[in-house]
Amino acid sequence: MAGRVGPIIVLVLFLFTLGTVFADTVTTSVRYLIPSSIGFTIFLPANNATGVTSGSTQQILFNTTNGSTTKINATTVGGFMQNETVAIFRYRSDANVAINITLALDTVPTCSGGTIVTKAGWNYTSWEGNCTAANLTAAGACVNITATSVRVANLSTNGYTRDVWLWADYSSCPGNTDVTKTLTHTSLAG
Amino acid sequence: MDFKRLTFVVLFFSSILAYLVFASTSTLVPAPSQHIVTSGAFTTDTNTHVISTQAEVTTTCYGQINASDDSVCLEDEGSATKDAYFLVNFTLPSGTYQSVYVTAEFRTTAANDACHLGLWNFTSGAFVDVNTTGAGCSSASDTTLNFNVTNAALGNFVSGGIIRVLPHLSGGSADDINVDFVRAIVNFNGSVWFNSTQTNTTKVYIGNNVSHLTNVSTSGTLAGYNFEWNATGASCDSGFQNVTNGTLSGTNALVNVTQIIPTACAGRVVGWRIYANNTDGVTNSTALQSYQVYKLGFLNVSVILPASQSTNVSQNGTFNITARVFCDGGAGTDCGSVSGLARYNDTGEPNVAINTTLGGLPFYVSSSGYSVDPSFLTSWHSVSTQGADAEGITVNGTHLWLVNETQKTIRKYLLNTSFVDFINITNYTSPNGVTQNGSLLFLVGDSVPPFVHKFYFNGTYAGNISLPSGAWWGIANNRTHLYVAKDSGSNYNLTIFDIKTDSVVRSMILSGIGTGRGIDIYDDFIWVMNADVGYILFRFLLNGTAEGNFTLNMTKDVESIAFDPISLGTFYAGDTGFDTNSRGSIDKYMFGANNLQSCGSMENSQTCELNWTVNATGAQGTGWNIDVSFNSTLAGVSQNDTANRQVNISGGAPPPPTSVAFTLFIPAGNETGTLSNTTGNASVGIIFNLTGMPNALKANASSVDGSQQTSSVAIFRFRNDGNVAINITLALDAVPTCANPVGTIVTKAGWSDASWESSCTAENLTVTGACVNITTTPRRIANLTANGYTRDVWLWADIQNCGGTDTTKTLTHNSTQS
Repeated sequence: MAGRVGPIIVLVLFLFTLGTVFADTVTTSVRYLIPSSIGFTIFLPANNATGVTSGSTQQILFNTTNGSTTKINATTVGGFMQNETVAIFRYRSDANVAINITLALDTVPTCSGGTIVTKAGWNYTSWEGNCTAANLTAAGACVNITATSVRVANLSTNGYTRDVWLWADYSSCPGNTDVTKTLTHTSLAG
Repeated sequence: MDFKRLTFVVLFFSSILAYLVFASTSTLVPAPSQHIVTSGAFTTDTNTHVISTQAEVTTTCYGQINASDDSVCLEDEGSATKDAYFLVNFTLPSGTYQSVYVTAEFRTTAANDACHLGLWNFTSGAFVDVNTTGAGCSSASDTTLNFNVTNAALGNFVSGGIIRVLPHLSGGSADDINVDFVRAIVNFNGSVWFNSTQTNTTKVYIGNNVSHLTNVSTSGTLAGYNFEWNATGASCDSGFQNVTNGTLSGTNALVNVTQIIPTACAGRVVGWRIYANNTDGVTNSTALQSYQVYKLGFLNVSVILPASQSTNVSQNGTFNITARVFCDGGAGTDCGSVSGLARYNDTGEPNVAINTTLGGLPFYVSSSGYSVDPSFLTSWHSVSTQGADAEGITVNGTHLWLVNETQKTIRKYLLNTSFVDFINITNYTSPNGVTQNGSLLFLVGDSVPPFVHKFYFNGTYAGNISLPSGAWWGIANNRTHLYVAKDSGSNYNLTIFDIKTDSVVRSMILSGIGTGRGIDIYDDFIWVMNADVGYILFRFLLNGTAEGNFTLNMTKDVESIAFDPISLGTFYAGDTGFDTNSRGSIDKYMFGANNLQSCGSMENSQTCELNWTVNATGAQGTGWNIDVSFNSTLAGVSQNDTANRQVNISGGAPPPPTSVAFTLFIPAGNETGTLSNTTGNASVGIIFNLTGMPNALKANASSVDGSQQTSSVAIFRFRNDGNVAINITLALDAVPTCANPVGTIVTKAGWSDASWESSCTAENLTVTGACVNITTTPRRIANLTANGYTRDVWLWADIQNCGGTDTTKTLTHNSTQS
């Protein structure tokens, strides 16, 4: 589920004394008031996919019959699987300040007798057997997505975008494993 | 059927030159011409004239053979039993007849006919045989018959009239007539007559060398003339006398007798006439002619005001000058067209005309009644080569706009008529009048339905006002109200709108102006130009009361007028049909207080008083001589000046200082969407509030109490409260910056909501279609040329990626004299 966080702006209006001015010079106070906005839009590959700015996106799925498989591509339910050129997530900044976007699972998924690792990177080749980066800052690395938020995008100005690929590595997972988790996308002023 | 060929020869009889018809029997051969000439010719015998016939009757001779001469013949009767005849009309010369002799030579083709010579008897109204052969007329030889009319029978003939001669046959059943000739000889004395009798001048003064002219003619030969008049004797009272004569010749002559008008005849009516005679001894004269003899008058002048020899006037105060002129010289005096000019000088005789320019030093004429001075008329004949018919016109001091109904444009010009650009109004049929209020053009038209459409100066559409049906021609405004005029043939019906709300305030009728066309509001008067009654400019109070009119020196179809709000007393008249290409033109008039005033034409003992109200603007403590100089357009009538009066400029109020001031209005309170606050509230701050808007181009300014700038209401309105033209600049104390280093804030200003541009490149605001960036460098955003003028200015901010910014700057509005 995606979400957005923004500051509360308190508008302070300066009221001046009304009056008539007959002079050759007059001054006017001009206030430029622009509250911060950290909104973003997320796009997933799907038929008739539109951007999502709040609430939940379409569900994504890691689907394989081999319980010991790495770099399983994320697929949009009812949509498409990410590939070399199309990422599972595209983030676009709707903010008027620089923003960071983080990902976190509500809990780490498990399988009986085995492990499930969720990974993210900035292009299709960023998958590594062992992701060591704390946040995504370059295309050549990946991060593990866990219950701890990790930054997967930094969008400096309005309209900028970032594509993020997502994979799962299954190890010794028995058949009939079927577990669902919630992934939260969060924006923060950068 | 028989035919005849008539052969044409020329015969000389003794000393008489005549053309005769010589006939022989032959087959008729039609010819393209036939004529019988009846004209007089002189013989060598004094007073004897022959009217000869010259006939070439080469066509079948039935009935009338020459309609113009009314000559008729019936010489071929065929099997009919009619008697053949040949009728000739002779036109007599004008004069007095001593005898008329007619003769004809002819024969019959039958054996036993009688030949007759008939003459029209004007008393009996029928032809009467005046000579006949009885039965002796034969086909073997010609018979000549004649008749001489003398004495009382001559009274049957009218001078210059016609005599009718009829050789004819009788008795034969199948006779034809062969005519050798028909002749008329008249002995007469020719008459003398005149025309175009006149003098070479319409007004005669003593000492003039006057030509007395007449054209004299005679039906004989002119011999001479005499001229007589009664301008005789030492006192011009000795009656008619023959004073000169001369010889004449021919039948027509121009008699030109020049005479110097004696001084003694001043004031008298002189009679004259010309006699002429001819060689027949006939004398006649012109009708008695006459003319009034004038003498040059003397301008007897006096000054009435100021009454005292020396007068003190407060600086910037006014005083009156009144001067009188009397046309002196006694009976028969003419002073011509007289005018007076108020003058001044610091020492000695006044010799400088008091000027009429507002604020002129040391005096200016502030009022002498409105007048239109044709000498200021200038016509520009090249306003447009595209058929600009100047249906409507308006001017703002720097530019003028014309409505071209044919071309469907509002064309914009500099005041020197250099073309600038145009607004396309092809969507609106029958556009007529136009007016401007400093920021908008208002266009009126009489299409169905009628309308007032509004445009910004850059052509952007700005709304409309609906009108009821009618011939809506004129439109004008005085900044607060819009006057829209409908022509009803003899009256102008005005509907007055509040210019801010478009609501009707009142209606009124301007009567007595015939077909109204151009209208303008100027100097708190309504001015209406009539299109078809002597080019008269009518003036009304704002309540519709008539306040006089002025006749303009125009000859064209004036459709529109506009007063220049800056150049006082100047107005423009737009017209149509300047040339064969239907181009329009603009005539420029200087209109206002006039120093040179006219008394019109003055004759003996007539008096005229002229008045001036003069503003004394000279330095305190200065003294000036003033007078009034009277002049006449009549050569020989001397200029005369009144006695001097001394005007001393003292103390009084100092001249009003130059005032550079303005009022700034900002929409506030409940004024969103309007700007009705008339007191000004410049201290209200403004804000660009992007709450809920991450980014914005063209963010509208609002007052801090929430009243917003809209497409029709600007955030600022500047009004000139000074007495000079001013420029107003805007500058920020610092350019606002974003909390986000990559963000930007750009403040922009323009003259209309449509003036915003993504990139403002103008240095200053001078047109509606551009914008300027407001920074710490002052930018001129208004030029208000006179007191009361206003300018609306829209303010925007372009804000990108500036989240978390809350910055306040100070915007300074500064005015300077332009």
